[in-house]
Amino acid sequence: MTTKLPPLVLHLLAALGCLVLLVLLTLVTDPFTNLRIATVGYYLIAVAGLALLTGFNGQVSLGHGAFMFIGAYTVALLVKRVPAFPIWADLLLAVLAGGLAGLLAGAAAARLHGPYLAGATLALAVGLPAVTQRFPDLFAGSNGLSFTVNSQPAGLVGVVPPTRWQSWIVWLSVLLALVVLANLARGRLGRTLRAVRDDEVAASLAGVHVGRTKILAFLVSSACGGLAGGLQAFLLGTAAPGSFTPALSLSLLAALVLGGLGSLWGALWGAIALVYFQVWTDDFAELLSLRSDIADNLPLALYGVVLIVTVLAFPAGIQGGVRKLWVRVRRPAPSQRGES
Amino acid sequence: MSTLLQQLANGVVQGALIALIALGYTMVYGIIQLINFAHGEVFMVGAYGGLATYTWIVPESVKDVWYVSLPIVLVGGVAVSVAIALLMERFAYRPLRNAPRLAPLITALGVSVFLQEFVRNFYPNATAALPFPGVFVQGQLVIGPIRVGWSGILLIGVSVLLSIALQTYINRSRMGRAMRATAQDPDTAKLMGVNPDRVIVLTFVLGAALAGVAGVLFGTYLNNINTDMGFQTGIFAFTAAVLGGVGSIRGAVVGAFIIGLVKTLAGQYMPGGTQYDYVWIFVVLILVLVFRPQGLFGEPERVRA
Repeated sequence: MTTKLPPLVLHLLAALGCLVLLVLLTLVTDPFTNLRIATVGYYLIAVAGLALLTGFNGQVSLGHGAFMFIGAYTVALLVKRVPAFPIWADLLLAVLAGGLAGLLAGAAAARLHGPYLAGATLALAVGLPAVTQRFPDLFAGSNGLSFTVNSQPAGLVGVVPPTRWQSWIVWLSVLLALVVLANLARGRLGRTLRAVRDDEVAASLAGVHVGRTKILAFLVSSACGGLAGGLQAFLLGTAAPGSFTPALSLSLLAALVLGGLGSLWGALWGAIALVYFQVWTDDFAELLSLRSDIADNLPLALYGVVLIVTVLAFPAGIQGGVRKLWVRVRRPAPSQRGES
Repeated sequence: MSTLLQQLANGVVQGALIALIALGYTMVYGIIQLINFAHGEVFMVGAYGGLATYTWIVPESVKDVWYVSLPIVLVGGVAVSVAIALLMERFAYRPLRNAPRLAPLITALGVSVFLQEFVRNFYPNATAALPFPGVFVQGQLVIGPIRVGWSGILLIGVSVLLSIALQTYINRSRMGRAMRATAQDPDTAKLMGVNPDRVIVLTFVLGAALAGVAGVLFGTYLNNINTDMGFQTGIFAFTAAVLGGVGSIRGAVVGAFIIGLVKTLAGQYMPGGTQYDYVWIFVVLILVLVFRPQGLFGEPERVRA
């Protein structure tokens, strides 16, 4: 091996490759699938943010939907109230709003451990969407805000179907954010996060500021949540409290654990599982052609079973399974051992 | 003034219900450090089990005689709750006892979703709320301006009695001592001859029995049950356990009464009404945790080198 490229360049190149692949993928699939691909995108960045907080830093958050809520309403309000802003500025502000909320939540939560942190974040996710009921003039109550975004440049209108264009924007933002995350995770911050997770006392003896590190993890992670929420609002054209139930927050954590804690790859498998498990269980229930009242609810019951079975099969997540397989594939033949 | 007293009374009834469920959360967490998200569902199936017992097992002639039918319905509800809890412990949690800490949390979510949808689909007509029979003295207790249904009084009495009984059992009995030992240090407890599987199963059984009682009494009090009630009440109960200090029996009960009172009082007096009550619960929770990160009665974190 000759000189290694710096990680930033590697990550950028990988992101560029992914973007090209995804654009090709959206070109050969129908609008419905394009929408699903974009959905995987925004879940991916939400779960990846959670991976940094829960996987790398060991702070279990049951309330990451709250930050998506903040991001979604930031974009919705900006589009409606400040139409002059371009969509990228709206998304950037959604990231900032999410990060700011995370800074506050992190500062409040830095002393909390285990179930106390879980309880406080869950309470945040349950309580926050109720704010929309309190200020119906601003947030339009439980109906939520709907809006249309004209993000396509004039030259492309009619050339590229809108969902395809939207899924490009979503993935471009997601990949950019992932590059930032991957660099942070690989660098000094990633090391301090893991040190604090493994042993707070040892980390502080080694000169790590434990409280500050935990707050920083919250900030980065919830900024990702804000971006995810903003992208969701951009994609669906609505922001409604009904999309940000505690069930969403719990699904994000489920996706993270299913995919595998402790690596950003796990977030990818988790996001795909989150979107496609539901699609598959829907299809499966349809296949059984049951009475319609059962057919409507059975997918969710199946989803529960799939969740249990997958975790039982891969307690370390899908990425854990993949890594085991990878190690087996890469293991050199006995005679070559020691030469490579 | 009379509204305030009435809301206080309602809050105490709510708190008594939440306490019965919060005890299950706090015990399970104390022993195996698992947030058992399916525990709310154990409460829900307890209510449905009680309803099924009333509909199909209690003979027609004694359905209106509450002191015959209530015990049968309670036994039915508790039996269903305990059976479900045993099944989920055996098949969803025990295989993961040495897995990463968050893995059983996710199977708990899976169990929760599955149980909700299973009951919704396969219990007759459970897609909508079902009426629950009032298997207790009808009518209300009237003290001055306060009116509380007798079933609410029953709920308070049973909740207080059972929490005291549980506290005594854990502090005085042999198995209780084994439970406390396992909670403190599972490995040392094992060396002292405690069988951890038995302790864990007992913990789940006790929690489920309380949840089953809560399910039946909830149905008797409100006269209707639905499949969402487990998840919603479960979140309140978990919050109560956290507020009181996870692992502490007294904390869970005190936390539950605080949550019950905040819920009803905020619903009555705070702007926004009942849809907004959870925001105030959140505020109370954060305020308590800022000053006591281990909850009201929780043990302070020991720093282990």
